Amino acid sequence: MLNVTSLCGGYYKNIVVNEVSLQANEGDMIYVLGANGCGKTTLLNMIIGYKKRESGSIEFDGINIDELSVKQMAKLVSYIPQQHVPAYNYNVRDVVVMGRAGSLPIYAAPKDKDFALVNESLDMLGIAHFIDAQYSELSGGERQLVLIARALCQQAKIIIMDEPLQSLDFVNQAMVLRALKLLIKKGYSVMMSTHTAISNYADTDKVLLMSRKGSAVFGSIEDILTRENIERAYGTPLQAIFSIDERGGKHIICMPTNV
Amino acid sequence: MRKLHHISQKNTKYLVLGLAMTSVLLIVLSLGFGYYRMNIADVFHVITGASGDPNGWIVLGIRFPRIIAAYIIGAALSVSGATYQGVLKNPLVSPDILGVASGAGMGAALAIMLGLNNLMIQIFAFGAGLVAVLATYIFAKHVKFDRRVSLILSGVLVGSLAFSITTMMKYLADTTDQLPEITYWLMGSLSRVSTNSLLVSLPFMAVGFALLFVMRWRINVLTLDDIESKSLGVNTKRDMRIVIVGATLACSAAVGLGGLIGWVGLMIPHITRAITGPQYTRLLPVSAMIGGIFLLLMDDIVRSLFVMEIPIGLAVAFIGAPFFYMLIRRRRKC
Repeated sequence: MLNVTSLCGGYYKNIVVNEVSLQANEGDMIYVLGANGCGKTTLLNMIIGYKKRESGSIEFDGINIDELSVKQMAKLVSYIPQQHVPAYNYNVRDVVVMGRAGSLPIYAAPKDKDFALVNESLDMLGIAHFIDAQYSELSGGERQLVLIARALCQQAKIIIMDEPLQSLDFVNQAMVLRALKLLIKKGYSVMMSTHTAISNYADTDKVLLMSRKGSAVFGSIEDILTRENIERAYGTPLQAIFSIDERGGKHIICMPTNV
Repeated sequence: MRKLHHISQKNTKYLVLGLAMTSVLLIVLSLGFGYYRMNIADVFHVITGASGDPNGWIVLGIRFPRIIAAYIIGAALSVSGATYQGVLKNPLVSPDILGVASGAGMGAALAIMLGLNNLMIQIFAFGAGLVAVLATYIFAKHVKFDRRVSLILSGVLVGSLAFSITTMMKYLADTTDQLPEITYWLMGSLSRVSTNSLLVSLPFMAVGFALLFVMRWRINVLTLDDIESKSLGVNTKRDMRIVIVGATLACSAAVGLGGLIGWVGLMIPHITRAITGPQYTRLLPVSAMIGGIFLLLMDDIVRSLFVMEIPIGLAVAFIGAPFFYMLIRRRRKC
């Protein structure tokens, strides 16, 4: 679905994404890991077409990103920003229905069928009861779910998330991760940058490990998250601790070894 | 922070209906206000031709354009204020943020200095308002900040420049006739509204309102960060431009017609947002009507209450300042 080859980009003289390649197919969960400032956000911004790339190619279903209009992009890939405080106090229904913007002509307001999609998306994520709530009064995890519902209304199969678990407590993190796992099962492809531990990963899950110089390695979790790779990427002594819980779920967390 | 409950979608329909009826009622009643008083029955008699009094018809003919002007100026200032507040993501913004009003003032002052008639003063004001916003856009291109911040900064620059030029003209003006006329125009007044001046402003206001009506739902998406709205499939640069053109046309035409009337564009959207919530498909029509009713009421008071008429801009400012204080005291999230 998504094919990125030798992507390069950065700011003025500073190249923060250097020859990065990755592929995302249906049902893929890709974790983007890397130190602060190593270019994760830049990479995601280039993939969604918000930032211009220097070189390399980005293809959605085989079509080069340069040939896609803003509306076409919206139907292929959705983007969920980090937590932010919106300028105005919209309710959940009005926030989620904004996901229909790419499918509506410029002069149209959402109709019944758009609101039906809103209800469907909220139902899928189990937050239908929030529909009339004020968005800003929800918890961090609930707000992320609302933004995911908004992304679902775009009917795009690829979901890109920039640090969705940032500043969420365990309960909220679990809420969001469960929703993402559900979407993966339905065939969506999710790519998210994260700092936290990777819980309950599947063998098909992938990781893109970015280093400070902008280069990256891509592959399955157990292949990529070796001690040498992690230490090289973060530039500090680190170890990856794998654990298997009583239900066979596999988890991984990175811990520094020199504290 | 108090818990805010905005009215529901269903109740909004009743609100809109109620406001529409109130508007019509107020317009009819206002026709009866003034030195030559008429009650509502008299007004109807004159309109339907049942009254034998020829004076009634003349009085209505004089009042009618002014009353309509008061209503549509109130509506135009409200919707343009609401729109700027939305696209610039700042509820404290007034329609002059991009320099429309300051530019219009400069245009009017220039026309007065050149000794032109009322209609030309109106056209100069309208044109200068548009030019000011155009200048704001051009300057904003060279400012390397975020799109909205650039616009606001440039707007402040252009507004300030226009204000300085206006002040300079006041300095150079003839103190017996030009200066008082400029000063009076800058205080905002509906006393010089005639059928002609109303008709000249109507097409531009209509286009402005039409553009905003077309974009009424898109404006919501434009209150998001650029990266979000773009990822949702919106051509942010183009849509913002369309919306700002619409708001500027309506606002500039309104200022050309009635002079500088402040506070309406800031206050009315605030009040409306507390009632209907920030969703623009509701915010725009409701704030238009509340704004129209408000300014018409103010104009009725201003021309009936005292022997000497206070410029409406002043009257509104007297109400605006205490209101603003109440607003910032409450600190509620709108």
